[in-house]
Amino acid sequence: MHFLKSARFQKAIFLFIVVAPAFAAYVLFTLYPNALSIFYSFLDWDGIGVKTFIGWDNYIRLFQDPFISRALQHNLILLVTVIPITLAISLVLADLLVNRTFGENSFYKVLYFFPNVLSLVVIALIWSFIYDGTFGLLNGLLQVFGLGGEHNWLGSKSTALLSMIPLYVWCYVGFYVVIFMNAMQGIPKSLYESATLDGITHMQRFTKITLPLLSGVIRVGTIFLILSVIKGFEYMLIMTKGGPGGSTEVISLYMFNLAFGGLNLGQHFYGYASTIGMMIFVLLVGLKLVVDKFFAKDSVEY
Amino acid sequence: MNKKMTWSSLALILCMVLFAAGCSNAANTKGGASNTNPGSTTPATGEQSSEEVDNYENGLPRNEKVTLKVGLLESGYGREWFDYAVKLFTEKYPNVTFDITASPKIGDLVSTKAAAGNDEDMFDLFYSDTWTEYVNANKLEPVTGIFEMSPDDAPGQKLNDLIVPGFNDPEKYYKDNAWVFPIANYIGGMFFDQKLFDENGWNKSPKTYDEFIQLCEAIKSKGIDPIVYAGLYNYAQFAFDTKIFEIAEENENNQFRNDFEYFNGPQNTSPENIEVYKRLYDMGKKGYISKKSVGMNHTQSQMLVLQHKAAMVPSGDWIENEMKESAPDDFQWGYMAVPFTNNPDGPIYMNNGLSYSFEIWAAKPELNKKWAKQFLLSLMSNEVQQELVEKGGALPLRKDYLDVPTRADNMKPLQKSIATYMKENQVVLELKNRKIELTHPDYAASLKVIVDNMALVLTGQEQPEPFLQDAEKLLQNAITNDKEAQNKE
Repeated sequence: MHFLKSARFQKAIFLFIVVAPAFAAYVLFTLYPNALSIFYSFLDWDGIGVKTFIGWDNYIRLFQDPFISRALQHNLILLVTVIPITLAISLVLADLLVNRTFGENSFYKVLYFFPNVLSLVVIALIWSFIYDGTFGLLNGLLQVFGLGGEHNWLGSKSTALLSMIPLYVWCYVGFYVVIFMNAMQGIPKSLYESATLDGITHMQRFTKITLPLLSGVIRVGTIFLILSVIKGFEYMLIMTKGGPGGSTEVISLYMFNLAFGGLNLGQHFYGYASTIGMMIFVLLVGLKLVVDKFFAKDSVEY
Repeated sequence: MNKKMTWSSLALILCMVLFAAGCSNAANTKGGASNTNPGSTTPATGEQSSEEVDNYENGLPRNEKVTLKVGLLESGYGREWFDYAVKLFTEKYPNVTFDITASPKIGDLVSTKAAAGNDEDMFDLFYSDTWTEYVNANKLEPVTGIFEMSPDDAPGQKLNDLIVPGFNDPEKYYKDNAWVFPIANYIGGMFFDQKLFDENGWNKSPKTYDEFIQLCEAIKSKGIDPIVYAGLYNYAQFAFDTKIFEIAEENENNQFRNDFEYFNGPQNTSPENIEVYKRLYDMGKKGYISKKSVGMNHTQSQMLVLQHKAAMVPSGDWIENEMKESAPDDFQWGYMAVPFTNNPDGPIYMNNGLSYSFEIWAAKPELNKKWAKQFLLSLMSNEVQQELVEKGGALPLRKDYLDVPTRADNMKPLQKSIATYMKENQVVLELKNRKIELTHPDYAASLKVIVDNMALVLTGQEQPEPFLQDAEKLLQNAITNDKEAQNKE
C-alpha cells in the first residue's frame, strides 16, 4: 500500500495515463495498419475474398511492371521542380514579410496562406478551369498578349504533368511562408545589425546569415515536401485521372487505382497495391537519408 | 491532493474505456422505420412472430416486418422511377420498408462496405460494377430464380419469356448462375441537336463511312468541332466499340464472333480491331474529333454540344434526361449510329448494354433476400418500366412493353428518335457479350494500356499499333492463365 502511494509510483501512473492514449492511437491507426500492409503485400487478395499467400510474387511483379517506372519518373519530375521552387519562393516571401514593413503585410500573410484553407476538390476545380482548353483563364491571358491561347493544357501529354507544378507550388508556398517567417523572427536582430555596420548587402544578409541559420527548418521543410509530393495524387485523380496517356499518373495514384478498382474493371488488387505501398515507404526513408546527408547536421551559429 | 489525483486518474481511465467502447462495433439495433437520409443504416430485420403467420399470394409472410437496405445509383435516369416503384411495392406489401442510400458514387460506397466485412451494415440490394469478385468470395445471392417467377402483370408467364433477348443468357452465366439482375438497357451512339443539323442541311443519318466522313468535313468547314467526347471516362466507346463487328462482316469473317466471345486468337491486334483504330486515328488527325476531348468529363463535352460549339457527342440514351436542366428549350436531341463500312445495305452495329442492374448480398436473412427478389421482380412490371422509360429516358427490358400503343407515344423525344433510326436503317443491337470472365491481373493491365492511350489515338496524337501490341501481350498472358485455371476447376 505504501508503494502505491509513493511518489515514484504515482509519477509512473501519471506518465502512463498521459502517454497511453496517444500511443494507443498511434498503434491502432498507424503501426497496426502498416504491419497489416506488410502482411497484405505477400498476398493475392482482392480485399473481399480468400487471401492467398504468394510469397515474393508481388515484389517480383513490382520490378517487371512498366507502369511503376513510368509513375516514378513522373514523381521524380515533380520532386526536382516543386520542391526547389516552393522553397525558393517561400523563403523570399518570408524574408520580405519579416524584414520589410509593408502596411499590408497582414493581408499578404492571409493571401499566401489562403490555399491551405481550401479543400482539395475546390483547388482541383479552380485549376481545371484555369487550364481549360476552351474557356480557361490561362488561354484567355495568352490571347490577350497575342501568345496563342488555344492549347489544351491538361489534354496534352507534353504539358499535363508540367501543369501540375504551378498548382503544387501555389498550394504549398503559403504554409512554408508562415513556417519560415516564424523561424526568421527567431534570428537575433543583433546579427543583422552588426552585419549592416560591416556594409553587408541585402542579398549577402539573406545568403550568409538568414539561410544558414534556417538550415534546420529548411531541412525539415524539404522532408515534408518530399512526403507530400510522393504521397500526393488527389489533384491528378480529380483533374486528369492519370491521363492523357498515363502522363500524369504518379505512384500513389497507381497504387490507389489498383486497390480501389480505378481501372474501370471493378477489380481490386489489395495485395499488389500493398506491395507498392511498401516500396513507397522504402523510397521515402531513402530520400530522408539523402536529405540528411545533404544538409549539415550541426546547426550553424556565428 | 492524493485523493484528487486518484479521482482524476479514475476519471481519465473511465474516459479511455468509454472511448474504446465507442470505437468498437455498434450494438445491433432493430428497427423497421424507413427513411431516405444518405448513409442511414437501419439494419434489415426479420422478426419471428410467435402467432400463426399469414402469407401473401407470393408465399411470403404478411406479419413479419422487413426493412430492405438499398444502395441506389443516382444515374442519368434520376430516381423518380425508383421512388415510384418503392411506393407501389410498399402499398401492396406494407410490412416491407426501404432504407435507401442514393449516390452517383454508390459503387465506391458499396465496395468500401464490402471490404469492411460487416454484413449487418451492408446493403440488401445495390448497384455495383463489381460482381465477379463478390461471387468468388461467395458474397452474392444468385438471381437466376427470379427469371422463373411471374410478374404481377403477366400471371402464368415467366420473366425469362418476357425479357428482351440477350439479357438473361444462360451461356453467359458465371459459375452456373446469374448474379446481376438487369433493370434497364441503353443504346449508345452519337447524339446531336436535330435543329442545328436541319438548319445547316447536315446528314442526320449517314448510311456509309464515306457519308459520315463527309458529314464531319461539312461540320468542320463551319468552324464547329464535329465530335467531342468525355476523354476522362472514355465515352467514345459508346459510338465506336461495336465497329469491329461491322468490319468483320465486311471482311466476311464468320469466325469473328466466336473468337471474340471466347477470347480466341488476337483480340487487340486482330485485323478488325486495328482497322477500327486506324480509322479513328485518321479522324483525329483530320480534326474531326476535338483535341479538347482528352481532359474532358461527360458534362463538359455534352455542354459543348448544347452550346453548338461541337456537333456530336458519343454517349448513351440517358443523355436527354441527364442534360434536361441545361438544354435550351428548342434543343432536340437526335441519334445516329456511326457506319463504319461503305455498304449502304450493310447492318450498322449499335452499342447496346445493361444500363441499370441490382445485386443481392448473400449474407442477409433469408426473408430479406426473398423480399429483395420479389422487389426486383416488381421492377420488371410494365408499370415500373413505363415510369423508367417516361421519366428516366431508359429503354425497357420487357419485350411486350410496346404492346400498348400509347406507351410509344409517351416515350421521350430522344427515345422516339432512336426508334425512328432503328426503323429506317438496318441495325444490329450489339451487346459485346463475352462467354469467359478474365480475372488475371494482366487483363486489368491490358485494359489500362488501352484506356491510357485511347484519347491520344482518337485525337490523332498517337498511332494505335504500338500500344495495341503492348496490350495484346498482356491480354494473351491473362487469357492463357485464366483458361488454364478455369479448365482445372
